[in-house]
Amino acid sequence: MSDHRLSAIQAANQVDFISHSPAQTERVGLRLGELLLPGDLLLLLGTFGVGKTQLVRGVARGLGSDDLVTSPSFVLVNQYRASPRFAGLPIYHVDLYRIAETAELTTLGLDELWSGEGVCLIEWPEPAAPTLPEAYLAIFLQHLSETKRQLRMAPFGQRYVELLNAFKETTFS
Amino acid sequence: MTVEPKTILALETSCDETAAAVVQGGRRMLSNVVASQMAMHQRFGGVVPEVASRQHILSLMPVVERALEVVPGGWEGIDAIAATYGPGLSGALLTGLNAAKAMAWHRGLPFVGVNHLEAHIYANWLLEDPRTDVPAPEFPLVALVVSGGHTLLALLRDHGDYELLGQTRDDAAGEAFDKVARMLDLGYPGGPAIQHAAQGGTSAMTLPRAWLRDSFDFSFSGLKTAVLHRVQERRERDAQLLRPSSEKSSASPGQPPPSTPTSRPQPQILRGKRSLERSREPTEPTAPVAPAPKSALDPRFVGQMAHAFQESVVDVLTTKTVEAATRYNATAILVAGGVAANVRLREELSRRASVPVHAPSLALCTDNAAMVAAAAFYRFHAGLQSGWDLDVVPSLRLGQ
Repeated sequence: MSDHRLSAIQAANQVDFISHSPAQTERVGLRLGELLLPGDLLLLLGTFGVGKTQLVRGVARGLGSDDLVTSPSFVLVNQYRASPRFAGLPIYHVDLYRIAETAELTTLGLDELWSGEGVCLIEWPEPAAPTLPEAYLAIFLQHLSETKRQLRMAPFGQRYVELLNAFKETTFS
Repeated sequence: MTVEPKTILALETSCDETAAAVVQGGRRMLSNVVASQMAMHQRFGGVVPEVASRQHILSLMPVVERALEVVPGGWEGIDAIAATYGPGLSGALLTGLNAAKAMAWHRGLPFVGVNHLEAHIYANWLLEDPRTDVPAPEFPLVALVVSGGHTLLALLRDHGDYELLGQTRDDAAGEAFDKVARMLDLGYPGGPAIQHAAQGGTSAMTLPRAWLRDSFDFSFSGLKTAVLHRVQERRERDAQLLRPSSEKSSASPGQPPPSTPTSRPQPQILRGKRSLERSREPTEPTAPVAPAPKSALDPRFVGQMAHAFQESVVDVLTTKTVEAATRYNATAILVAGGVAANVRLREELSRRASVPVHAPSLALCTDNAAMVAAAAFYRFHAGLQSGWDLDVVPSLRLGQ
């Protein structure tokens, strides 16, 4: 799992902070989820146990979904539904952990998930790097200690710079 | 009332395998053909969906033809067709479902879509030896479905009458096996690799168990992370031992040696050792975890971790399943799914349960079409049949 295109880039306007618990990671996701719009794409980068699925759980809650959010590592895609307040938007929770190579993801129609009506979150997105749109919000997660995680949000494209600004407003002010 | 179709041809294409089978009366297997893509995926270290979908298309008709070879009268001997419609990979599911619908339409046969999870449970109805007549399981039953994508506990009151008692809140048990195997540099598939490595371990080391009190839900994410932390710790220690002392200083000057574990078991999971991490509180991201040069882990350490991990998973699965069986007066426990092949899980369930524990043979634990045909038989039996408009449901749940 090492595609340098995704992990080496540095974006302006990025936001760093530290989460002290899974609950806090989920709250960050919730704040972010409330601000998402159809067509938004979030990439979650980081190794095992850093809280990628936990963050997605928060995003789903932020979009008013009560669906059970679990790891899609084996099933590749979980789909949740946002509440009516968010027009019942589909939330696609994708996990490319099991994809060993940059295969033709189009055969599965996966590319439709991140160009469609829904909100799309991708864990282990490296194999899809060459097929991804230019604009997305990348979230790098990493272990600091057993319970602490560093989260770095890096926006690519105007939409995500604005999203992150709105996020900073609602979360830190 | 339609006539109950006795002999069913079923297709299964939800993930790895392209499978077709013919089963009579829901129990007697005439054929059970699985074209495994395991070898191919093994080469890539995981499921490659592009390989999966394309391979299903290539393998499907040869597999169906093989399955029909042994049926007296061939197609004439088939009363109905079934296929898995979820959960699974949508592209893969579509291949099997559409092929099954087309064949049924063309031959004027009834068609029914089957839930893959339900099918796993019905593997327990299949007769391993077609000449014997072991009685079918009697309701009420408690079923534990454990695979790479799913972990759930269900109460079965009758055919088609299920209650989901609990399920995983994060990772599936099989997924945890797979990821821990990867952390320990064991091969793919992770289940057999862990089981094999665990034989070299003892119960000297223990890992946390997430009990989630008063619930039949499961959680294996914390256990996975606990293993990761121990492996990281071990790698850092190995790296420090290997590195000349002058290079150590930059990372952690004056850091105390890894202390002996001080913390007693604590209520929450994810507790344990933390001594190595405490000294660095970076304000900017450093390199990703485990920056230490990756050398081979000590096989004894790997054995201990594999053992401790397996015991933790087996303990939680067994405890909850036995509890559910007692609470709902189950006549037996049914185990299904790929992890049901785990020998320790079978042993421990049989040891602790007061009712019989049934698990299919290894070949019927993993994905196959015979289990789909068995489930389909009882769906027809209950008067259920699918319309031509049935679509795949990639996130289908049990009882839906």
